[in-house]
Amino acid sequence: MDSLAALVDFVREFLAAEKLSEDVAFDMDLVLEELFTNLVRHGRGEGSIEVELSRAPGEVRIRLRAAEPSPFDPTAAPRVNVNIPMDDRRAGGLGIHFVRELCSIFRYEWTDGVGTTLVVMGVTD
Amino acid sequence: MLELRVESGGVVRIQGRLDAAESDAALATLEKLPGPMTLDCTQLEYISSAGISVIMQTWKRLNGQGSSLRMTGMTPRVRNVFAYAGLDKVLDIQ
Repeated sequence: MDSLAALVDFVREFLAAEKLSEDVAFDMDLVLEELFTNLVRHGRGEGSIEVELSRAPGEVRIRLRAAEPSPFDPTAAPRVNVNIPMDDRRAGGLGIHFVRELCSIFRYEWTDGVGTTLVVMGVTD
Repeated sequence: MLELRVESGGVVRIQGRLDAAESDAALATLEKLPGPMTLDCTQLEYISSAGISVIMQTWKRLNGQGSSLRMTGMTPRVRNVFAYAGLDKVLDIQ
């Protein structure tokens, strides 16, 4: 997880260049961390994980690419029920839940041994 | 970076980012502390699902011991993450 700090720095540079707010920074950090740790936790992206950030009117796009011997689709993760008491809650699943909460588009595709996750977050211009 | 400062009266001041890089160390510190516990989150800048898991495990341990965990001073951004998880309704957040 040492790469997380580098990821945060990368987001900071992008935000400064695009003049985006601290609220956007927080949400981008959260989405990126959850997608990144999900890949690492499941033993994916062993070589490297490529992260691409881009800006379009009203939105920010995040694309993660990793070498994957077989498809590993985060969009297929089971949905978690967040409306239950603490005693009934189990660990896990919240990370992808946060991605679903914060992103208007959440897509995955796998081609020729490369998995690509694309998310789109709405931002105020 | 994350710093946990244990103070008197069961107060723990948490400062910085509670993310996947810091969650194991944070849990190791909190596991040694008895309840009731008040987590002062005034200077908690960021939390992810890894950090939420630390809070949930601490709550479960203390609750199982008949004790309690409460959190104070959360910024709106941090509080939003608890709300996304539905935890703002079931945890003691002031």
